[in-house]
Amino acid sequence: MVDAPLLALHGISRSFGAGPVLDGLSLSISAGERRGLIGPNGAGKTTLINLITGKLRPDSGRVLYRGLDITDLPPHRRARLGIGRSFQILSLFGEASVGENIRGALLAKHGIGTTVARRLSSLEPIFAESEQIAALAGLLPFLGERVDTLPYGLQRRLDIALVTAQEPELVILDEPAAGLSAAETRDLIDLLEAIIRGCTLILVEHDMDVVYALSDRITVLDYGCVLTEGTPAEVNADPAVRRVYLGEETG
Amino acid sequence: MSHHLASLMVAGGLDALTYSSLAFLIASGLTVVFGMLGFLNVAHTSFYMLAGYIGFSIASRTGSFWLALLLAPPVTVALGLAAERLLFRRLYAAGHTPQLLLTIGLAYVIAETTKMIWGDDSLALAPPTGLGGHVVILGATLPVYHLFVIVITMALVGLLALLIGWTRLGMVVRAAAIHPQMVDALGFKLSAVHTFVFLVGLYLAAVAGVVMAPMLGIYPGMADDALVQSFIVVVAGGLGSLPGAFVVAGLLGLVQGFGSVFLSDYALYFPFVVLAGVLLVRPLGLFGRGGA
Repeated sequence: MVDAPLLALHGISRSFGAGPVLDGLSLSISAGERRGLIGPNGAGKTTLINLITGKLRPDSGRVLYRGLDITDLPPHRRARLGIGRSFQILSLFGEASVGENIRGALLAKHGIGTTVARRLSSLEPIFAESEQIAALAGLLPFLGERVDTLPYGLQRRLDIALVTAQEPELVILDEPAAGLSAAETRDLIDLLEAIIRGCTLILVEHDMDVVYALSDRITVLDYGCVLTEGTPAEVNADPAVRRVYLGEETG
Repeated sequence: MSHHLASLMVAGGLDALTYSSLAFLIASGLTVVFGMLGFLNVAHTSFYMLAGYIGFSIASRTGSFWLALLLAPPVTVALGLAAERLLFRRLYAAGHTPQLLLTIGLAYVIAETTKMIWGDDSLALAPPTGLGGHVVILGATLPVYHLFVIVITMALVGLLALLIGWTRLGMVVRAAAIHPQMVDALGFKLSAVHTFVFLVGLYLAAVAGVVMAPMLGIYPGMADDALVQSFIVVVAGGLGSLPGAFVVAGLLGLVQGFGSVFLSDYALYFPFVVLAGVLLVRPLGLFGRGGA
C-alpha cells in the first residue's frame, strides 16, 4: 500500500480516425518520481498527456490517480485534485501582466475564481503569494510587464510558474524546452530543479539533455505502446531505443 | 432651411442610436457564443422573438409593460438553458454543419410553435404610460420611447462592460476566450463559463425582443429579419468580436437612421452595402482575426 502508484494507467486505447494512437497502454508512476516520456513524433505522447489531464477520454482503459478512478472527470476537476500541466504551445494571457497571469492561476486554487462579490481583503494573500512565485521563477522584476512584451525564455518561465502556482502534486510538462536557446535551456533545468522539488513529474521533451537531467526513469513510447522503460542509463544503452528514437535524432 | 436640416439631423441621429442599440443587443450574444464556443446558433434570434411574444402575453394579462420587461427575458433564458443542455451542448465539438442543421431546425420549431400559440397576425404592444409621448428637440419631434430604448440599452451595455472588464468572473470569461484549455488546466470550470456566456447573450437578445415590441410590433417574421441583420453585424464586425459588433451596429444605425430620413426608398439595401463595403476592405471583418 505504501508503494501504491500516484498515477496508474490501465490498458488505455484511443483512436483518431484512421488508426489507434494509443494501443492498450499501461503505465504507473509513483509519488515523487520524475518520469521522462520520449518517443518519435506520433508515438502518442501528447495524446497520453491529454488523457491524463482530461482533455480527452480513452476509448477503453482506466486512469487512476491516488487510487481514484478519474477516467471520466472533466479537466478542471483533475486540476483541483492536484494535476497541473503546461502546454506545448504557450497558453499565456499576453495582454495581461506577469502578476495578473500568476494571480489568475491562484484564484481557482483559493476557490474564489468566479465569485463576483467578495471582499477585496480576501485577495491580499493572493498578491503576496504571487510575488513569492514570481521571485522563485526569477520573474519578480517583470511583475508589472505585459507578457507579450517579454522574451520567449521568460514567457516559458512564466508558463512553468503558472503550473506550479497551483501547488500540484503531479506536474506534467509538454515540451517545456521547445524553442529555447542552449543557455535558456540550462536556466530552465535549474528553474525546474528548484521549483518542482517534491512534486511528481511527467516530462515530455525532445531535448535529451533536459530529459536526462530531470528524469529518474524514462518511458519510451512507440506507435502507442511502451517500447521500454528504465533509468536514463538503461534507456540510453537500449538498442531498440537507439534504433527507433535516438538513432532517428542523429540520422 | 437650416432649422429644417437640424431637425432632420436630430431625428436621424436618434433613429440611428435606437437602431444600433437594438442591433447590438441582439447580435452580441451571437458573436460571443460563436467566438468562444465556435457554435453557430441560427436560433438565436428565435429566442429574441419568443421573448417578444412572452412579453406580449405578460403585458396583456397584467396590463404592465414593466412586468413584461422584467419577467419575459428570464423565462426566455430558462427556455434557452433547456435548449443548451438538451441540444446545443452535444454539438459544441461537432463542427458547423451539424450545428446549422440543428439550430435551423430549432428556429423552424420555435417559429411554428409561436404561430400556433399567438397566431399569424402582427401583435401590438403599447409603450408604458409616461413613455408614449413625444418631445421636441431642435425642432424635431421625437418619440420619448426611443430615448428610453437608448438609455436602457446603454445601461445594459455598460453593465456588461463592467462585468466583463472589472470582475473576476469577467476575467475568467476573457481568459476562456483566449486560451480555454489553460482556463481548464488552472481548475476553472470551463463548461460553466460557456453556459454563462450563452445565457447572458440570450438575456440581451430577449430584452431587445420585449423593448422592440412597442416600436415595430411582434410578428412571425421578426426572428428572420433580426437574423439577417445580426449576421451582417457579426460578419462585418469580425466573427466573435464584441467591439466589432458594437462598431458595425453603430454603422448600420447611422446608414439606417439617416438613410431613412434622406433616401428612404433605398433604406432596405443599406445594411448590405455596409457589409459589402467592410468585407471589400477587410475580408475577415473589422476586428476579425484569421485562422481558428
